[in-house]
Amino acid sequence: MPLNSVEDVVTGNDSQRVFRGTFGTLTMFAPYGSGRFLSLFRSKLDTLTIQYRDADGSLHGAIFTMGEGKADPLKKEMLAQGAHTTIPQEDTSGAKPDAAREKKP
Amino acid sequence: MKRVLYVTALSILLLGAHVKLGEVRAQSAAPLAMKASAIQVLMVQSDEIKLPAEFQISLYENLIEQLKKQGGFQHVYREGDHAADSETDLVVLHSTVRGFKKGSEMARNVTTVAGKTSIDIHCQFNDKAGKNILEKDLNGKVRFFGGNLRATLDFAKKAAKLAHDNFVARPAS
Repeated sequence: MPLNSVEDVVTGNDSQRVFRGTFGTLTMFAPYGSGRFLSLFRSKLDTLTIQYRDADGSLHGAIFTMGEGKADPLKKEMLAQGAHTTIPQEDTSGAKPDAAREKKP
Repeated sequence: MKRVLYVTALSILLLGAHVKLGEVRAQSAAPLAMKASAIQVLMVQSDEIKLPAEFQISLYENLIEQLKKQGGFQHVYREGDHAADSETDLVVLHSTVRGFKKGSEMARNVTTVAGKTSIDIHCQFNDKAGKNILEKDLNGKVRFFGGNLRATLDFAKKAAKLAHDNFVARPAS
């Protein structure tokens, strides 16, 4: 996929349970509400959402999740290689104004 | 006295069941809006409501996936697909976000009752000429298990069922 076909790149952040999958589901049935307690343990992650068009002009979208702090450098790299965005890359050298920060889902 | 109460309660239950059955019959007997062999899904619009990009993309992709999964349409086209121009009986789905409440997966896991995520979307089905054929408000929500994006899957399933029920030609039995 050529990067100049990417119409929008947006980063965000989210969190997920540390104990997930089958084990995570089984913890929900753990006694004395311990499963609920385990739900409090969460790991932060970044999301990178892209919107692109294929050769036929069809619109596609994809959401990638990655470790915390990895989405912004990737977005920067994609923009440098010709991708487009509706939310311009923030200047990370100074303090970020709160209004300019992207909302997490 | 007890007997009167039992009879009253039973009557109310039977009346409720009768009304519900009537609704189900009315829905299933709804006239077919139009038969279509193909559907085109446009990107979900959220001009009034600020919807995070991942929700918008997830709604769009889940819609396409669920429409393919439901079956019935020979082709499910994405926005901008030029192949859709040659279709004669094409239905175009426009979706507009009318409401969005972002919940919290952690709150759902811990409290069970709090942290619901819900999305209200106005769906409009147009024919190829742009004439409105059907419109309906649908919602997607996640109450207990799963991440916030699961609300988009819930909506997509409902929208795909609506499209299938109204535009897919059923074989005569």
